[in-house]
Amino acid sequence: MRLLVLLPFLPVIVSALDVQGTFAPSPLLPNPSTLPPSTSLTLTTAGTAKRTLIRRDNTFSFSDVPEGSYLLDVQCQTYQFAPLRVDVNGQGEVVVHQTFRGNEWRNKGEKKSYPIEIQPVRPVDYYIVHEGFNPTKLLGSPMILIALFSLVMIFVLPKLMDQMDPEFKAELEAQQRKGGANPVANFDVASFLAGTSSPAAGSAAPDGKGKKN
Amino acid sequence: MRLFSRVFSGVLLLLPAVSAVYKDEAYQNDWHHELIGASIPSSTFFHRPSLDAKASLIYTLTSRSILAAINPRDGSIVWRHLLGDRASSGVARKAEGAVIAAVDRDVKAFGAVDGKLIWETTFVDKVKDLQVIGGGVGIVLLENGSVVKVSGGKIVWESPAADSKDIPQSLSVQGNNVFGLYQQPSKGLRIATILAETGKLSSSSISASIQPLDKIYSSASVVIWTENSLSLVKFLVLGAKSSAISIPAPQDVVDIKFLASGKTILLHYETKDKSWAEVYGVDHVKGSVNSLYSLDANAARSAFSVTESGGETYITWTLPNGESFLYGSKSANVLDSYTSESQNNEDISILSAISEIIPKTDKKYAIRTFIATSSPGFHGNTFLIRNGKTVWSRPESLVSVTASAWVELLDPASEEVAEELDVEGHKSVVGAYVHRLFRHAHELITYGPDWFAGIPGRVMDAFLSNEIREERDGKWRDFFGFRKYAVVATKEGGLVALDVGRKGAIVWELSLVSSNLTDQWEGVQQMYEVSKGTVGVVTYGGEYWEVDAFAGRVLTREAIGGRAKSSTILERGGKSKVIMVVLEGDRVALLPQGSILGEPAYIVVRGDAGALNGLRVDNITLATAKTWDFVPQPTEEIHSIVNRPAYDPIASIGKVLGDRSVMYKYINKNLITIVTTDSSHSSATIYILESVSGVILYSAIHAGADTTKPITATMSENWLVYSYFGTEEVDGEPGAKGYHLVVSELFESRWPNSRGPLHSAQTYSALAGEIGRPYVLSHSYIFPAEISSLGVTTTKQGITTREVLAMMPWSSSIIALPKRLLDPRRPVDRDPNEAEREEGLNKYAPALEIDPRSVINHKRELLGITDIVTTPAQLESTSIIFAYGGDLFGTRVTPSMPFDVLGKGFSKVQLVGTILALGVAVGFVAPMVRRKQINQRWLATS
Repeated sequence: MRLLVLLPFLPVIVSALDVQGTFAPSPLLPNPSTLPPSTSLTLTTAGTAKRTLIRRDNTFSFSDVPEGSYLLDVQCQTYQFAPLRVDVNGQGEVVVHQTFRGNEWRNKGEKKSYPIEIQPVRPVDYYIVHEGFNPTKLLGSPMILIALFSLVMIFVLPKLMDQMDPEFKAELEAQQRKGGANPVANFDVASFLAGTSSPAAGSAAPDGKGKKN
Repeated sequence: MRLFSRVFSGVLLLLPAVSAVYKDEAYQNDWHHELIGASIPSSTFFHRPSLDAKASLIYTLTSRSILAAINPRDGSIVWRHLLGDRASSGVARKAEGAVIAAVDRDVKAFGAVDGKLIWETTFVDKVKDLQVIGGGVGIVLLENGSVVKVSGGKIVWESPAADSKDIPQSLSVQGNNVFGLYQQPSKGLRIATILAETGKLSSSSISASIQPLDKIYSSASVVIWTENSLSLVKFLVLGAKSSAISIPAPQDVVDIKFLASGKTILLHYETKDKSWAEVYGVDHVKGSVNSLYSLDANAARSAFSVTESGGETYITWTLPNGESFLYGSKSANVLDSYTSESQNNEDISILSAISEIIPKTDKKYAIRTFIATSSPGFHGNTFLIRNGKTVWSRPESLVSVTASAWVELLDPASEEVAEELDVEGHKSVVGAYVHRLFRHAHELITYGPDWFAGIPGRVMDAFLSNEIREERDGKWRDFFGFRKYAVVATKEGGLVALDVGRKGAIVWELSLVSSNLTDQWEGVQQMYEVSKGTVGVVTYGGEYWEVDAFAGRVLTREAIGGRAKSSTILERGGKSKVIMVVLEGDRVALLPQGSILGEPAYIVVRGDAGALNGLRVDNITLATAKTWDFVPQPTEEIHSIVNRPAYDPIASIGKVLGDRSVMYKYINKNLITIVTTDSSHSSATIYILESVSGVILYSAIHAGADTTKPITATMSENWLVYSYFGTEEVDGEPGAKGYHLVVSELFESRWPNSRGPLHSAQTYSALAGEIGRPYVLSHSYIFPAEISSLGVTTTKQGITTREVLAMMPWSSSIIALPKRLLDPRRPVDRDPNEAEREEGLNKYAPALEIDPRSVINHKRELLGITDIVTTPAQLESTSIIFAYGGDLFGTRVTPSMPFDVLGKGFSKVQLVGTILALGVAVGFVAPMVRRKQINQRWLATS
C-alpha cells in the first residue's frame, strides 16, 4: 500500500496504460449519444484522480494510468451508473470488477470484460410531482370505501327488513323493545356525519393532503 | 447485477425525500448565473459551428479555464466545460466543426455544435501555443520546445527543439510550413521551419538578434515584437528571405497590442489618455511591411478587431464610451459609425473585442461586436453590441466573488411604526393611550379605504392561487421573508448586492477601488451586516468601509491602522454590533472606531509559525495576552479551522429518545474544529477545541487520508460533519476505498437523562476549566463523490431539522443530506428496535447513495462553487441558500417539508367546492333524518 502511494511519482519506471471503454447501448438507453456532453468519468485512488469526458463516439479513455487499483465512477445528469473497480497490473493488463460501495476493497464483485462496457442502472429523476385531486384515487381509498359501505347499509338494510318474513320481523321488533335498540335501525345519520370515520371526513381528505404538501 | 440493484435500491429507500425539488417549483424558486470569467482575447472568436450552419456562435476560453459557446442572440451559454484547475493561461482555436483548446498539458477537441469531446491528448509538458491546420489537425508547441502534430488524438510526429535552452514563444502555420519561434538566451530569435507533412526540420535559423524582448506576437505571415520597454517595434515576414524591419514606437506609449488577419496587420497603441492604431500590409514577395494608414488618436483604453468577411478585411474600433467605427483595410475612411445612447462610466476600459461583419446593400453593414470590459473592481464583464446598441451583457466579473454578507430587508409593518412606538414609550400612560388612539384613527383614514377596496382583488388572487402581488419592493421585504440581499465582494474590489429572492437580480454595484489604485488592492477580508441596512467591509489592506446596503452608497471609510489578518463580529447588546479586527502583530482594533468592548473577549488567531493562538483581549486597553496555543505535530500542518455559524439557534437542548429519556446536547458556542494534515504519513487529524480555554475535547486521526484531495468540514449545533478521501487499513487489509463522510455528535453524557459532571452547576466558566467533557458519538459513511465545500441550512428558530449541503464538483451539483440520515445513533449490525424506530433511526448502512431528488440544483450545472451560505426566511420551515465562488446559485429549501405554508398544489377552489358539496348533501339528508326520527317515535309506540 505504501508503494502504491509512491507509484505516481515514479512514472518512468512504472508502466502506464490507457484505460478504455464504451457506453454500450442497453434496453434502458438504446442510444448512448443522447447522454449530455458534460457526462464525465473519474478514476480515483489515493494520490490521483483522473477525470475524462464522454466522447462523441460514446467511448472514453484515460491515458497514462499508472499501475494500481482504482475506483471508476460516472457522473451524468440523466442516468445513474454503477461504480466499477479497475485494476491496472504490472503486466499491462486491465482487470475490471463490479464493486459495491462501503465494502472492503479486497471484496470484488462480478468480473467484467475489458474494454469496459458501461450501461446505466436507472434514469435520474430530480423532481417530485405535486399530487393533485384525483377522483378515482379518492374512491379507492379505504376511508371512502368504509363510508360508502355504511351508507349502503343504512339505506338498503331497512328495505331488506321490510321484505323479510313478517313473523321473524315481529320477533325482532319484540326483541328490540325488550332489549337494546337495534344499532342499525337506530342509526343517527347526523351524528354519523359529524363523526371521524364518516363520509364527510373522507371527502375532506384531499384537502388535508394538500395542506401537507 | 441483480444483487447489486437490490443493494442499490435498498440504500435509496433509506433516503427520505426531504427538501426535494417539486417539478412545478423547479426554475421558479431557484436561480443560477452561469459565469465563465474573463475571456482570453486571442482565444475568443466567432465561428460557424458547422459548415452548413446559418449563424455563428461565440467561442471563448476564459482565465478560469472554461471553454464556452455563447449564443450571440441572447447571451445564453450553449455549452461549457471546465478544462483545468484555475490555470490562468490557455489557447483555443477554431477548426472545422470543432473547437480545439489547450490548457496546461491537455489538448482537447470539442464538437462545436454540441460540445461533446472528440479527442484529447495529454503531453509531457505544458502547451505553449496551438495552431490548427485543415481537417482538425493540431500543431502544438510545448514548453520544452518540442513541436508536435496531433490528429484525432494521436501524435503524428514530434520534432524536438534545436536547443534546449531556447524559450518557446509561439507557433505559426503558413501553407505546408510550421514555424516554431523561440527566444534564445543569447538574445536571438530562432525560427525553426518544420514541414507539416513529415515533421522534418527543414531549417533552423537565428533570424534576428533582439534586445530585451517585451512581447511577441505571430500570425501566419509575420512575427512582431517590441524591444527596449516598448520603444521599438520590429517585424519579420515569415517564409521570406529578408531581415527584420524596425520602426520606432511613438512617445509615451504604455501598451502596444497586435492584431493580424491575412495580409493586414494592426498595431494598437495606448498612451495614458489616448489610443490609436496603425495599419500595415504585408508584401510576401519582397518580404516587407508597408504602412497603409493610421487612425487619429481617440480616447484611451479602447479595443480594435480585425475581421475578414467576404474577401474583405474590416477593422472595427470600439471606444469605452460605446462609440464604434468601421474601417476598410485600404484607407482611413470611416465606412460606418455608431454612437451609443448609454452613458458609460468613465473608468471603463475595453479589454478585447471581436466582431462579425456582414456587408449589406448600399454601403450598410451589420456588425456584431463582442467586447470584454474592465472597470475598477469589476474585471471581465462582457457585452454584445449590434450596430451600436447593447443587446445583452453578462456579469462575468462576479465569477471571482470571495466574500459575502446577508442583508436583512426591512419589515414594512414594524419599521413605519417604530418611531411612533418610541414616542409612546416616552409619554405618560394617558398620553401614550391618546397618542395611540390618534395613530390608529389616522391609519384607518390613510390606509383603510385602500385596504377595503383591495379586499375583492386579494380574495380573488388567493382564491385562484395567483402569485401574491408584491406590494412593496426595494428595501422592503416580502411577507415570507424570501427576499434578502446578498452583498458580495469580487476579488478585484467590487461590491454587488444580489436580490436572492428575485432570481439573483443585481440591485447595485459599487467599487471600493479607484482606477489609479487597482494595483494596491489586496482584497476584502470579510463583510458583516453591522446594523440594519449597513454593511461593514474589512479589507486586507487595512481599511474599513461602511456601505448603505439598500442604496449602494459608501457611508464611511476609515483606516484601521495596519494590515488586517482576521476579524470577527461581536454582539454587544442593543442594535449595533462591533467588529473586532486582528492586525499584524496581534494588535486589535475595534470598528467602527470609538466602539467599546464591554467585557474582555477571547479570540483565536493563526500564529506565524503554523500554530494557533488563543488571545485574551482586554476590554479597556485592547491589549492582547496569549492564553493558550495549539501546536500541531512537527510533520502536521493546520489545514482548516471551522467554527459554528454566527447564527445557529438551537431549539432544544436535548434529544428525546424513543423511551422518553433525553440525551442532552453538549452545547458550547466556543467550539472550534481544527483539521490538520500530514502529507508525509498521509493522515488527517480532527480536533474539537474549546476556544476560550484551549482544551481539546475530542480528536480523531484518520490514517490513509489523502491530503491531496479536498478535506472539508462544517459544524452546527452540537455536531461536526467532515469529508476526506480515505484508504484506511483494517487489520492490515485495505478497507473501503472512497470518500468518507464522518459525523460526530457531542453529548453531555453517555447515558440518557444524565447531564454529566456539570449537572448541578448553576453557572460554569471555561476560564476555570469547568467545561465538562462531552461524550462523542461518531459514524462514518462512504460517500460516492468528492465534496469540495460543505454548508448547513439555518432556520429562524432552529426547530426544523437541519440539512448538510455538499458541493460535489465532479457532478457540478449541490446535494442536501438530511442530518437524520447521518445520525451517529443509527444502530449498527442490527435492525432498529421499537424505540429507535420511533425516533426515526434506520439501520446503519455504510454507503450513502446520491438520491437525485435531494440534488437542490436539479438539472442546472454549477461550476466552481467554493462557498455555500445559508440564512433563515421568516418562515420557520424555509432556509435560503446562496452559493458563490464561480457560478452564482440561489434557492430555498424546506428540510422538514413546508409545514407552515400552503403549497402550490393546494386548491382553494376544491376546498370551497367540497364544502358546498357537503352543504348540499346535508340539505338533502337532513329531511330524511328528521322524517326517520319522527317515524321512529310515532311508529314504534303505535
